[in-house]
Amino acid sequence: MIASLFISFFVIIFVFGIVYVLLNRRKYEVEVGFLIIFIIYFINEITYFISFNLSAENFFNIPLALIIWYISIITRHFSVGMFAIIHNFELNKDSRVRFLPVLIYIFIGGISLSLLFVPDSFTVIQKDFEYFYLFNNIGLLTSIILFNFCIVLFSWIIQIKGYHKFADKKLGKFYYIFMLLFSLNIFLYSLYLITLNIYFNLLHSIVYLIGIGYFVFIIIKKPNLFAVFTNKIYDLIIFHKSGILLYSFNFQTREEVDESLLKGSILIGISHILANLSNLEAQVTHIKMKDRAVVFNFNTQLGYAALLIAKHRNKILEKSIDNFMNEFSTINKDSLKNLTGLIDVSTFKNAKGLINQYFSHFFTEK
Amino acid sequence: MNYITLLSLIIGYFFIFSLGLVVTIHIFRNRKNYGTPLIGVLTAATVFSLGVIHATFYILSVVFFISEQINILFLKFSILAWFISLIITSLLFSFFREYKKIKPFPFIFYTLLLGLLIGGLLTSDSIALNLSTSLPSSIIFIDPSLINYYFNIVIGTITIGFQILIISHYLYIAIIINIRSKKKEETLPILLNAIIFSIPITLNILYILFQQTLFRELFIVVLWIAYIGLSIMFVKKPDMFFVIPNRIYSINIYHKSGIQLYSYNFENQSDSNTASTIWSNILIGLNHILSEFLDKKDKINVIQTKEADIVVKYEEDSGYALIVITNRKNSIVEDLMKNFSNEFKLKYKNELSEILDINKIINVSEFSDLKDLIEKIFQLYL
Repeated sequence: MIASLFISFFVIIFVFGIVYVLLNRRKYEVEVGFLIIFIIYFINEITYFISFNLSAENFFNIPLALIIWYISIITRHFSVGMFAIIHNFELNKDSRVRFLPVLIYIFIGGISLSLLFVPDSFTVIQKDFEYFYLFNNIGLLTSIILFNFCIVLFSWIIQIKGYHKFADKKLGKFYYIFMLLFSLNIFLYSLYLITLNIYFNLLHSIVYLIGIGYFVFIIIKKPNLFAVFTNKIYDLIIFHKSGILLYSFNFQTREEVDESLLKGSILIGISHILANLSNLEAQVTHIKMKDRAVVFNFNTQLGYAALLIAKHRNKILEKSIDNFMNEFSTINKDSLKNLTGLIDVSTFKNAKGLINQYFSHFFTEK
Repeated sequence: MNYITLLSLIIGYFFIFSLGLVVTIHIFRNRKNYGTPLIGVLTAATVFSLGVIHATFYILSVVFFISEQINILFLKFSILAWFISLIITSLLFSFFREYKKIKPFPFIFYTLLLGLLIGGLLTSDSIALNLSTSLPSSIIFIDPSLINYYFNIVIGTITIGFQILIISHYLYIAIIINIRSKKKEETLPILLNAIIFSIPITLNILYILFQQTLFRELFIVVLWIAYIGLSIMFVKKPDMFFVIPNRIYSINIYHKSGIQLYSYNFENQSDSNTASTIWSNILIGLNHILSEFLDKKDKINVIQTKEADIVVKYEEDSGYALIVITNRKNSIVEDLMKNFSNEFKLKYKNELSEILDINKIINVSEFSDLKDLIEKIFQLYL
């Protein structure tokens, strides 16, 4: 009864989230690889929660309930591990040991998985209308608790150390609350496994549902979640090969930069770079600095280039620049081809609309 | 009792153990010669793990009989040491391909399999000992052919799967390096190494599959022979990690005013002033732009183009920038740049302090004898 209630709530939250995202899919910008990982993660979450609740129901016979219990443990490891790994990779991008937490999770997860297949690891106890699973294999219980402990410990270290990397601080704060719910959920789950107390089971399921509901809330509230997790754009500048500044936009002030405000040093620099515009091999594509990256995108046919200063380069950013450049070239084709004599750069003010169209995800809150 | 096998294994063990210790100490003391300290430490760890830890536990599990549990425990430790050695070796192989640019997937699988193995080994019936003689009452030397181990299905599957993955990974990396390399003869040792190392691994797989002691003895003999060869290679040719993964195309030194002080081309090993002027232009341009848009402390580290990485090292106190054009930036190149820059500063201390004032006339011919210094420091890339 309680299981079906929890599962129903869970399905309602998930269906609502999925329908909302599908209806508003234009708002969401996400790399395909990342999307696949996220789908796998959610499949594991769904399987875990349903199997965890069903495994307690005495509607099933003991062997079947035990199989469902095994499924819940395996999918729990996958879902919690995957979330921690995604969190680690996003916030720990530049660390020299970014793979270390991942390898530790996989290593301990491997031990648990191996011990799980030792025969007679559990004794199934039937109390009232529910099954409880008593651990006979202390090694297995220890490895599961150790796995959970490592996940919580490393996730908090990464969250605290990486908070400053959140491009959108409001998103960072949302994430703190989610991490609290995530840790509490793991803590209650571990307590339930150790004590087999029904109250810990109920509390775990309630906190789990709140956590999932909150995550759906973040996705709805912050559609730029996947694009700007830690990335940030500072400036977008468009130059003609003659060295003339066609357009410049600052993402922090969200305003166009007046060309008279740009110093002579920039113009000298541009002419140096654009002198090599025709040399395809020597074309600079990307400049890395300690805290920033400069991405170049050239259009040799129309003789102009876009320079984007961001925190770091990624595929979403590159795709946005490509789309922006394609659209910019289409609408300004004639103007760019006829840039002779007195040049009126106000023609290129239409770039602002394109910025709103292709880079709106990167307008972040401080 | 077959004393020949027993004695051969014990003598072989002492030789391998001593060699392992000597080579580990040698590599550790000369770790700088291996490109970076990380590679040095990993190489030493491979040698130590294979020659000292694995060999010791292996010998203890097949040559002595102490008790069933203790012998099984020694074998479990030897399997663990074997797994760890192979993972570290695999990491080194990956460095051949591209330093510190490791494809994570194989290592994620290795870690998972290592975890599964440890979980499996913790269970009591994972390995069984079969003694083809009466159970001795005290610790004795035993004919290795009389002592045999049986692996349960989980451990057998994990160890076989892991070793197949390792062989495939070694061969894949070696073949990829060979295909991509312009100098095939330079990469041939890597390919040979991968093939030679695959033989003992295959023999170990056969032992686990057929549980015949002959395969186990053959495995250790071939492994130890390969180990001797590997140790000699590590000692004699520590620079093998340097050259294979990357190339340097040119080195350029620019004064802060943008004037090129010196340029060296690695392709034709000559001073060159023409090809690099394009980079001078670009660099000056970029610095002008960046000085306007960015915090001045945030200098360029590397510029990526379609064909190359341009690694930049600023010496603000001495007023110049060192630029190395390579196919891929890595720590080895950065370390060499640092060494070169230190020597350059020392050698041209007076000249550099004179031109700190950008209004002074710069005589670039003063830096024309840099060729020797470059060839000394970057000799492995020549």
